Amino acid sequence: MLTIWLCVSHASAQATISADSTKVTTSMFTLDAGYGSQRDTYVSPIAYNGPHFRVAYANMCRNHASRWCRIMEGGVDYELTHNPAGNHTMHALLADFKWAGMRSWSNVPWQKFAVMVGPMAQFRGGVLYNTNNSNNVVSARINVAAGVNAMASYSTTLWKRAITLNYEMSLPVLGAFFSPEYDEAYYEIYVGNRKNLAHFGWWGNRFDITNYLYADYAIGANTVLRIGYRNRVESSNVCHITTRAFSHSLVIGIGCNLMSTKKRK
Amino acid sequence: MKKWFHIFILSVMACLGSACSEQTFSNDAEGNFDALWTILDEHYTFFEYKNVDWDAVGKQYRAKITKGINSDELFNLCSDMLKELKDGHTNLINASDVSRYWIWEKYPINYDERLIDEHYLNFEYKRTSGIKYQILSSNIGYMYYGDFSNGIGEGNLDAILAYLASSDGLIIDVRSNGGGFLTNVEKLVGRFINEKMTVGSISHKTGPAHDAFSKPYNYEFSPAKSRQHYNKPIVVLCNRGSFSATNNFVSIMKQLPNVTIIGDTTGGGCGLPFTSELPNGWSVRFSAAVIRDAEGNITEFGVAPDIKVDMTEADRLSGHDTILDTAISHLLHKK
Repeated sequence: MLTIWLCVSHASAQATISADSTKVTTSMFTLDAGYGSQRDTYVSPIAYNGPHFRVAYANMCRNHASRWCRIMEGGVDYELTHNPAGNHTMHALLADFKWAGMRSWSNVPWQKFAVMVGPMAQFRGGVLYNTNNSNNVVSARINVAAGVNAMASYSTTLWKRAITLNYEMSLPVLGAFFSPEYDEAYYEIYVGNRKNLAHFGWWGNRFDITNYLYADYAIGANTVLRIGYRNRVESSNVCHITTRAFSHSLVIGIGCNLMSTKKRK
Repeated sequence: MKKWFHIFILSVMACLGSACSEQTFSNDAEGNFDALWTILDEHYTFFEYKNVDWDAVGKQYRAKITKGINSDELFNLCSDMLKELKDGHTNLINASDVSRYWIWEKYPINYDERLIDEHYLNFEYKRTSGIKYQILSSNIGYMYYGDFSNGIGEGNLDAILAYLASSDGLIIDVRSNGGGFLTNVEKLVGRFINEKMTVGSISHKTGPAHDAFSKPYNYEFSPAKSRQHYNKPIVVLCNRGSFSATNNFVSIMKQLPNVTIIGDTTGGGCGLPFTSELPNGWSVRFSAAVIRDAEGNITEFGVAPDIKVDMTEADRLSGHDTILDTAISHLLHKK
């Protein structure tokens, strides 16, 4: 509701502005619902599956006088998973934040079809909690990474309203992440043994990719409805601990395009 | 350019290679047995210490799987295999049963709660944080802590020790305490030490090989700051039911110069248990790390008391706890 109010109030202010340089900021609240899977051999050799949910806020800023745009996204994922036998439960709660700066590779910036690629920095952290376990009841996740963010965007109209079809991919390449050693209990970390907990992350021991396909449909002057699909794959293999996680989600979101102009002197 | 392309392809292959190196087991009798055997093979910590040939054990018990074996029979077979490890922390758990190797079940109980309540505390004791306490008629303080899973509040400990401060000595009874949280051990020990001390070391498995262990890490406990302490002579009472975290507590208290351990050898259990599971949903718990005492000893089979005493049946029938009487005499002698 706040987003819609912001959109409407801001849209009325836009009408009188004549611009030389226009910056368009797309703010979006999204809700994901789908299916996820978690396998972390620190807590169990068995893969756990169940419903996946995510709430997120994304902000994309494009300056029409420049070829660069900036994306920031923060979100929280939750999965309520069960083992195949159905008698054990594992909760996964992970939060992430991503910053990406992308350059448009189209001949004319921000025309109908645009391809953008650029660097990305990501933080992701949280915890898996297996209600069945003893000293390996949780597996903490902390990961910082730098990589590539790429996006292809196509703008057209549908029923006389603007629609933008987008595909976005986030691919961390290098980073650092936390992992205890093979059978190292968190109690041992608690009493002070902090050796070998941080690991250099690269594609040989950690792989993470997010594919995001979505359509932004203008339902008001500046109000946008988003419908999409998000897929995330994460895996790591360090200290003989293997983790695998994936999720498939339908995405629905509401947001707005906020335009601001700056007159050139 | 070609070189970078090759590096990229190799990186992707390394990624995919690690993704494919997963062991999976079928959800049938053989698959579940093999999953159980493999979990222990890769994670169990005492094979060498206990001189167990796990390959031979696996072959011996796998040969007993018959066609059409039912779930209960498989559970019993797997339980028997786990008992070869002689480990109270190693259990197989299904919906109807928990397999166990609880050594204390084969030894004298050496503890009778009702007898103490009736003949020593006269049913007039205080109780907080799962700790029962009172000053006995001989002016010896007595506290019974029956479960290290019961959280202990610092304020509660202050109240207990302040109440017992006027006593001439303190008996801490942890008989038949099957263990719980090691953080409660630290909280309790912190009231009986006056300076930071090394209390033991921890070593964990670093990989699936039977001899893959981390270098033992010495860990320390600190005295509880600005809290009520007790520095007079102390006796800790234990029996074979003093297991796991309690075994750890006794091994630490035994180092203190003003502490005497009286009773029977503790039940042991110095492994730090992890939990895993089989394709059919059965859980398995096993020792995955070793906690040694401050001298580097593995106390998996228990901590010997300073004064070995068993409860006699004649004493019990006459309303006496032989072990508690020995402790009272010991403390009165130290007055």
